[in-house]
Amino acid sequence: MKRYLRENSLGLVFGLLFLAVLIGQAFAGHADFNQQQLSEGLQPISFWRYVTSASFGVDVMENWQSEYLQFFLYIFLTVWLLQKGSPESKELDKAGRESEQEQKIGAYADDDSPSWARVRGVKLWLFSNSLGLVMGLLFLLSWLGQSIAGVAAYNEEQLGNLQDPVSWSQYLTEPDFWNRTLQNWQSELLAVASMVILAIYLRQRGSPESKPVGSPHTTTGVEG
Amino acid sequence: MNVPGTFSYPIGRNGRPQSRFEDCHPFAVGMLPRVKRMWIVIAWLLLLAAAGCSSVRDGGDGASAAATQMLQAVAGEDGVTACGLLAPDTVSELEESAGQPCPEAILDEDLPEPGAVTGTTVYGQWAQVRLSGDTVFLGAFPGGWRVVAAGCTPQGDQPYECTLQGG
Repeated sequence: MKRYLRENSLGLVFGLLFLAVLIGQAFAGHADFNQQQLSEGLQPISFWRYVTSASFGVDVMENWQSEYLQFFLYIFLTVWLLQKGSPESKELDKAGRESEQEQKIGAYADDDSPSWARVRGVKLWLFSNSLGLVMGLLFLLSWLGQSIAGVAAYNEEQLGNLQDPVSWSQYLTEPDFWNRTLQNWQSELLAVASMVILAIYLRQRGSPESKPVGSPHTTTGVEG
Repeated sequence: MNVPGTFSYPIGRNGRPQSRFEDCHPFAVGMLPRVKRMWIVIAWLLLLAAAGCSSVRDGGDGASAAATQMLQAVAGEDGVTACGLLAPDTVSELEESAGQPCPEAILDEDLPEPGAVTGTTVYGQWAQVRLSGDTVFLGAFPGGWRVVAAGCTPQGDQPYECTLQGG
């Protein structure tokens, strides 16, 4: 058990932090929603009613879709794009999908390589691209979720303002949808750009996200 | 011997297969096979999205009944019943602007005769009931739907202009 906790501490800690913050968001969002209710002359709603509402749903989904987009783009683009001096980049002569030997595919697979790394055809293609595909799929699903919950939350506001609701397809052209989408995208892309550039010149001893403390600024694709 | 594509539990000292941690701890989602984890995440995403869809149909009948009942009470000169179906802020606004109690003031409002319900839309705590000749907006209260605005006419992209409206 101790060994399990030590070997899985990164995933467990971030998983627990995510749950704690999501619960905190639910409480803060509930309080904010009820403030709006009172200002509109309506009554506060229960916590359970709020966490199953479109308002909470869209606030969660708009953040999830941008996170998965960030990871999808980061995973996919780092196959080809390079950044000299950054540990977030591959080495400057390694751009592209790399050789089968470097990727331990087929005849070059080890005894303990995943089984789909040893075969050919669709299974190999799927497994070779599984990380990007799943991140991309999760991005699309959560973006779809944002649009569905978003149109319901938007229409609730519309009715509260004595205006007509809109359809889902109309909502996709509304500033509200794109404002929510783009404000999240800009922050995710800023985070990646910041990390790629700052990691050239700054260090965090012991972190795999940093170069070793004594690595020159020009060294590319090494971990601390 | 490991056969590709199969899994077998290691055999313990007692000669029986040893189960893994995740078999004893069903909530250890992180250790489930990758495909199962993906489907669990997808199901959760769809559930959250469905929270938006479920608000559309819930309470539609109650909202249209409250709107129709209020307009029928006004048409029948029953100001008390009509005021009982108004939102508190709408009652306050009506009494303040008319300078008389709600049951009398509401009968002086130029509300249209109740027509047939042509459509009802509910999103969260708000509802819109469209009748032939009128549109009514309602809010959800502990006692049921209450009319926030009535005698409303559309103004294009602008908010409806309503004869009876809360503050």
